[in-house]
Amino acid sequence: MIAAQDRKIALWNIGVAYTAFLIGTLCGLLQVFIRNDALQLPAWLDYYQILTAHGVLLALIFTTFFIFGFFITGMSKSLGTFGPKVRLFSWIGFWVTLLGTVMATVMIVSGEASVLYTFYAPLKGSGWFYVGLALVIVGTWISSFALVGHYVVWRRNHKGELSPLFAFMTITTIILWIIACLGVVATVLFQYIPWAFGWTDTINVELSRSLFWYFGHPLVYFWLLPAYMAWYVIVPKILGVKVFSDSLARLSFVLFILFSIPVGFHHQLTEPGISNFWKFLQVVLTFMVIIPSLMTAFSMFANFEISGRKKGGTGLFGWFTKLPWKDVRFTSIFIAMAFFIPGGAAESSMQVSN
Amino acid sequence: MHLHKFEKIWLTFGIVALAVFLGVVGVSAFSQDHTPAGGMDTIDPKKVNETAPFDKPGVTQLDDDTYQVAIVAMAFGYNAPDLRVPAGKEIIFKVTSTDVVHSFTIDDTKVNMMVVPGRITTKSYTFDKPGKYLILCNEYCGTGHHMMFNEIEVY
Repeated sequence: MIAAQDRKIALWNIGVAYTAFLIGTLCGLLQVFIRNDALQLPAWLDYYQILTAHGVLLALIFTTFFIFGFFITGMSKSLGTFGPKVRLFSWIGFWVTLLGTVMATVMIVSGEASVLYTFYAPLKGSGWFYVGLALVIVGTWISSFALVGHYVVWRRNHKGELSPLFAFMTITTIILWIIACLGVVATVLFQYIPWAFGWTDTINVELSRSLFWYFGHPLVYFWLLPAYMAWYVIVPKILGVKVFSDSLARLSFVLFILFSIPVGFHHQLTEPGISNFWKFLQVVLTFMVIIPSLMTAFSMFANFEISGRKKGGTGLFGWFTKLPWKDVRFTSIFIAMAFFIPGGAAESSMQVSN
Repeated sequence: MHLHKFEKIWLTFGIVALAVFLGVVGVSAFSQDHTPAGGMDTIDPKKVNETAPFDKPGVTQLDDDTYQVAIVAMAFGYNAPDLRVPAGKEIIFKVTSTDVVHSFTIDDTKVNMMVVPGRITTKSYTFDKPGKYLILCNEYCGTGHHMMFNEIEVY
């Protein structure tokens, strides 16, 4: 069990995450009823308002708060209880992110920002919607620096020691997140906010799209890596084995930082303004992510097999039946993993067939 | 760093498969011109209706085997009168927008073009089968987005 004060920060993050999840999911359900004409919306609410709320709350807010709740828990567990400064900045980060979330949500619900969570220019939302988004990012940066600070303190007190895997992976994911955010911060701060408040007349649409996707693709890795952390750190623990290879696990996370930087153009394959050379190059770089993914898949199944055999599984696949299927902590993660494999493969092939 | 023998085999297989796959895509894209919609042409979005070819949107025959189709996308429709093109001929679609980002997507074909204001998107396509095809905007463009569609007839 981690210190009560750290647990409180983590629980508040997870509480906001699930609140956003409930509201966002309810919006999704409403969309179904609207589309099959089972429900008539009042005049002040339209389909795209709900769709925007659904996207922003689920894709941006739920994920971000949940991930930080997860990081805070794991960092307190693996590196020890937070110091007063780390705790203070984790709270500041939480409140700033929450303030941004509330601002953006109010703007969406009042119909001032029906721009979906991609907010492509020149669809224009209220300037305060973009300020809200900027605050969300700033808040996550504050929380991130608090966790990095916690790591730095640990490092100072444990010279020459190998950091716990969870801490290493948290720091790499935070580095990935900060690099990714540079794109969206640049476009929101220098393009959207001046334009939405009317200080500038025009906006460079193609540039804003490229900057958005510079962020938008690594954003997906920011969702993925915490899942990988659960696979690398929690699953072996449940199975009662050591992670197959600690150094390869670390290498795969470093590769994720490298391969997350210039990949966004593959979301813009069918649009003008980007030459075919750059499109192809970024497709190639995108597919490089297959390498750390294959490393992870190998490591996971190696863990499963070692654990299954330890428990007496024999033959080519006998170990599979010996896995702890009755333990929801294992089975839920396994199901997610199993769905992830064909999903990823099909999606990437679809992209290219175009 | 220690690599298990099976892991070496697994990773080598994966990386080689990836290289072959990307090689095929690359060769096909650049030597056989199987490229997605795109283009580097720009246009003043306020002067679309005065700029060729969008001053006369619709179908123009360029030569015996090539047709050009100029389309102006706007919230919430396409300005493209009388969309009729022959099957088996190269059709060059040129699309631009006067307001926000749209798409020009022909159902059941590989025509899927992002339409960005200030830019001209180009895509060449040859229809195999005659018939009526549905054109859709699949990029959210505002409250009337779901009403933005059209039809193209291939004869």
